[in-house]
Amino acid sequence: MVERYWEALKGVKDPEIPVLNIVEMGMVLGVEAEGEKVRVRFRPTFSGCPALRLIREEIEKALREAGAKEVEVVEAKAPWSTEDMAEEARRKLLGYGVAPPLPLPLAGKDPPCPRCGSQEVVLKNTFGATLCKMLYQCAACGEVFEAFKTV
Amino acid sequence: MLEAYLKDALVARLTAWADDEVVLAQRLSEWVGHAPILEEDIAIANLAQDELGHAKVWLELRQELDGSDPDRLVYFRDPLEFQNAVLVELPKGDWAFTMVRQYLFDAYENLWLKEATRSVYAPLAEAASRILKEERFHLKHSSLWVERLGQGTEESHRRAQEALETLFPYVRQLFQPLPGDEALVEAGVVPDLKALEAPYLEEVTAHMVRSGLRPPEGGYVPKSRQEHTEYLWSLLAEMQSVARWDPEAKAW
Repeated sequence: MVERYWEALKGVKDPEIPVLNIVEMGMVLGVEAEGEKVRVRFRPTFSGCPALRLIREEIEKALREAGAKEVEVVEAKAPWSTEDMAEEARRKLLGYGVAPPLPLPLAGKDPPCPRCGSQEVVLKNTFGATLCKMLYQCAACGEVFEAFKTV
Repeated sequence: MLEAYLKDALVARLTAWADDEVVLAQRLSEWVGHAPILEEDIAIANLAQDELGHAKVWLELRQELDGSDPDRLVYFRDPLEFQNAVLVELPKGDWAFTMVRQYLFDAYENLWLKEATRSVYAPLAEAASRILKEERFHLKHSSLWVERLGQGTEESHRRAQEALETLFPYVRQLFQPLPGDEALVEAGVVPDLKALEAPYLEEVTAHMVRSGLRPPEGGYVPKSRQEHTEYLWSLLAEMQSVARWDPEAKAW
């Protein structure tokens, strides 16, 4: 039964990066089922994330569609890190044109260009269209791209 | 988890931190649509959103202690009940004023949050490490701006220096202990802010000098967080207007 709920949660996308779901983002910490009651523990990525409320609603909707009658969504305080993202999520980001986060020890370094792979990139803005991204330009191919912040 | 005698003290401490973030977020948001270039408009909106998110984190920690409702606290308290430092309520001024203030505040946050990650009160330690991750990006951004303005044109240098002269005395208020802080520090719940003042002043002075700016000596330091300027009244009047207009609204 719990497996089914996990599968349902894989259908909940991060509204700001719609190619990723909240499970591969590492946002779901646990799912417990007791009869028709389901309890989900999840943690937000960035604390000011405006999508939180929407994500909570989507979680509830997905679980009800999977058969739950009662859904409790608990927000955990434990800090999220890009290390919690699944390898699959990194691949999807790259395919989406967003430079995936670097391994944590390399935080502060510049990511390679997601288009041509060059290391010659210039930081244009520490902030981007969403809280989790920065803005770069590749000096080799000219591509302007977003990079997921390594946190 | 937390000894009963520390509860009120921590509620006061969390409120002071949250109010700094809320008021600064409001000041930053005043630039949205008006920043000098598009990329900065995006950046400052991010900064505002982050600070507001951090206020929410502190107020939710407070909620766990006293059951208070974060929205009620932000939108329905009167100015005299706000516990923010004067530094963050001063009008946004020009771009140099906003960026110099942001740098001074970011350097302070990065310093004390790092210490707070070692709090014996686990919810606070976790919140601090979460927020610190985001604050590192703020500091990177604002410290670069200070350098750019300080070493830019004659005009940018003059404006940054003027901003620094107004703002610098006020940063010292951030390190003043609240009445309940001593007990919290002793119990290892919050860092000793007073002890962080000297390393802070050393760090920001070094960065200012590198940027060709000169921090002023002396100046007026507000005595307590009950002290406010008239600017807080108009700021809150605007920020709270929608919530007060229709307190029962379920969606805006």
